[in-house]
Amino acid sequence: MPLNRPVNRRNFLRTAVATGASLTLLGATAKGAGKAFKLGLVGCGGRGRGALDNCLAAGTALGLNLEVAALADYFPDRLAEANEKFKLGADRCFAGADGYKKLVGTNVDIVILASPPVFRPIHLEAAIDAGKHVFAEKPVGVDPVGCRRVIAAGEKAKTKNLAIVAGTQRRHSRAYRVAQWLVAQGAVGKIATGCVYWCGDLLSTYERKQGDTDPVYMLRNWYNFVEMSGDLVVEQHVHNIDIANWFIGAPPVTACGFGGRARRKTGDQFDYFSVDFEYPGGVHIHSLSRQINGCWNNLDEYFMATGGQVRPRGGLRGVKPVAGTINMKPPEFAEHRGGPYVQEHIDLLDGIVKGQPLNEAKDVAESTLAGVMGRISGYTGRRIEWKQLMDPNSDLGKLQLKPTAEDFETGDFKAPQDDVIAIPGQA
Amino acid sequence: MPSDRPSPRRRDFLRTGAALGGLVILGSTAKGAGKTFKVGLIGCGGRGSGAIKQHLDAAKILNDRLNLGLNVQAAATADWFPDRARNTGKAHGVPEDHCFGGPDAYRKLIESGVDIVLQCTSPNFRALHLETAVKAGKHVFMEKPSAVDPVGCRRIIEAGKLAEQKGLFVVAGTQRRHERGYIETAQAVAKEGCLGRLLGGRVAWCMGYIGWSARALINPKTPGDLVRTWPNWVALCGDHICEQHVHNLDVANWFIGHPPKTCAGVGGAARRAAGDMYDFFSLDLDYGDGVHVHSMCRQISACWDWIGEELVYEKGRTHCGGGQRPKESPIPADLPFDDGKGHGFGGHQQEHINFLYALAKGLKPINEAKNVAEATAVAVMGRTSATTGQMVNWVEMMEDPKAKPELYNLTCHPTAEELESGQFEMPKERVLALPGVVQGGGA
Repeated sequence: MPLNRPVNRRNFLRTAVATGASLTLLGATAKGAGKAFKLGLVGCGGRGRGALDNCLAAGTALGLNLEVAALADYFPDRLAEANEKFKLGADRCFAGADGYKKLVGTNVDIVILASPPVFRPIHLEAAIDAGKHVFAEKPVGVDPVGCRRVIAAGEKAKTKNLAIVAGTQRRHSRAYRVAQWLVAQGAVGKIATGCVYWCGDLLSTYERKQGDTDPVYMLRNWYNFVEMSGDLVVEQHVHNIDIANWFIGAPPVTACGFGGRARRKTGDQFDYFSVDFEYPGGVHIHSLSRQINGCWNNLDEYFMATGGQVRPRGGLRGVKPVAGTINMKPPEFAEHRGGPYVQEHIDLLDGIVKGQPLNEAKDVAESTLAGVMGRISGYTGRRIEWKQLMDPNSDLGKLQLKPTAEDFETGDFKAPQDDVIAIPGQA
Repeated sequence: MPSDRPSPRRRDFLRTGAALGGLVILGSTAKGAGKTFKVGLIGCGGRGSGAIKQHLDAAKILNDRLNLGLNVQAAATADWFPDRARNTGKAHGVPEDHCFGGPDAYRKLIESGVDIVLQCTSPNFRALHLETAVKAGKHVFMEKPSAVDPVGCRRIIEAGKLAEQKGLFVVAGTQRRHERGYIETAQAVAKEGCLGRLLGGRVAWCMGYIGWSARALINPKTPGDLVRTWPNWVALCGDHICEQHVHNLDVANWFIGHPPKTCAGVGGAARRAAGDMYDFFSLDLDYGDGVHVHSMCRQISACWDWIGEELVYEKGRTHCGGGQRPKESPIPADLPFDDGKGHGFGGHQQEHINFLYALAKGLKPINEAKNVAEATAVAVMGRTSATTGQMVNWVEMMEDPKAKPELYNLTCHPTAEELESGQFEMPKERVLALPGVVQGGGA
């Protein structure tokens, strides 16, 4: 782990600054101190700019010299807004659907991918092909084809010694890491069942304006189109599903789900899902996700194991470890005072500096695909099997939502009709 | 099912009885003095017609197998619709003047001198009918579910207490409680603890389109229109989560030993063409101590179907209807469960056998009012959480009148009394309750 506890690190940094002492005290990380990296951001919306800030904070924490060197966004106005802070030249700001291609063609070292999820697979492929390290926001696709492309890009990154760190930030939270470490040690026996929740409010809605082309409308209103976001069970709930996959140690084998649309006003998504995920060994996890205002809200994960209860962000309960058989003292996992949103970038940068790049492509692609599996089950009412989604030759494995990311580069498509949603089964 | 496959032994008995003329009947009557019961049926639809046949068959089976000398006679029928009461009555030799029709037919039946009342109307009437029957000192068999709202569930519980004081039977149509597989598994797992501590589980009633769901708008004009199409209306059947899924929820309550603390869930109407109900629900039931049960129910064709229960324990899992054997069975050794050739009677028959067995032997009266009312209340919790988007708390809904009066006093209209009087506003068809509308807002 790159760093010790933040208290120590803060103290250390303060000391270091005060005395001008050498950064060698920082241990493994010290050899990276002063190293310079050029950053590029693809997708200059709120999360993209947030991720860039988080990365810069991580660079500061590690004593690295980070420079924002290029920006890309479909919309020139959003690009200009993001660039107010960095004042990059026009040759480093790339608008349009192919801006990402130009950005990865520059001399940036690390690319932050924060466009809507539909674009993640082609953006990731382009970045890895160009030899860039990547921070990829979650989720990383909207359909089985896209998720498998991300897994393949992750394999390619390994051969090129490139980092891919994903925005499933719970994996970089100290509390979650401690809980996961203890579970992996067998501190609570075997996970037998559990629940994961993302029940929250409706995200922003964009009202179509006169003159908006179909691509513009879909991009501005991407939170409400399954083709853009993967639907809420993918876009937001991926976080919680990811925790189930991580703690159980594998993706689910089947999904039997329910879902519908009670209140959403635009786009073609549902606004709630409830899915019975079956994991290997007959372990069932109930996934509950919703985006409706004025309802019961809950963002959490919870597991019942044979030897106790696990609430990853809150610790373990009812655990009676057998003395001497299980190591109950986890390593001192680091977490920056900015929380896991900064820590994930510290872990990204630290791995790069050490020459041991993290590669989370498969993990996040599997969690994304599990969300996709839940969505398909909710849309159809059918029991969906993981192996169908992973098989490129099966009907479900071939599923690719239209418009695709590539379609946005031609701009030659019709937006799906607003308010036409999937209906499970038959009357 | 015995009604489908009558036991050969029973047929033999009947044949013998016929051959010997009055002898057998005389003998059994003499022996069964005090074991003569006049039975009345309220609600002569499909389930009611089945229940009275199964009730009468149960007496025959017990007489045949155990020589209990029961004399159970169909003595009266009642239905909102007079022709239904007459038709069912005729099939069982009930005199026409004991076939009661109309909104108050139930009362006439209860006052007609019957000993046992079979209550097989739609569940919205159950509380009123049970109260009336118990006050009048009748033993009761009542179909599930037992109500459509929290107020109705509490009325059932109260009527059950009164029945207990009076030594009356209240047997419920949650028939899993009467099946050998379930009883023995519950004993082995929940009582004897053969699988260790409970960790969680799933219960489901997911099936396809069901024939009683209207294919086109009903446009009800009269109370009778609602009563005739009851499985399409929340106020009459409690939605399908009450009407069907109550079976599985009851199993969860039974094995766990108490109802859940809270419920949070979702649901919707994806394919329903008429009425005002949802066609699927999916809920997170929190039973406390970290035990969560995922409840799922659906009435949509061409979807994944599963009707059952699976509970996960420390040492393994059970499907509740079998698989684990108890050290000591709580079932009387002579209680018949099959036709002697390995064909189980099935739950619908078995519940009446168990009822009359205990009644004839003078055992402690079976009283399932609380069980079925609590299982029904869990379904009401689920429906309420899905239709409002809120988490529903058991104590607030069922026990504490002051915490959330609107929840505690939740009443589906028209009520049984309103239907009887005819004074009510017709429910609006295809106007669905939506989550997040009642509390909070926007979106």
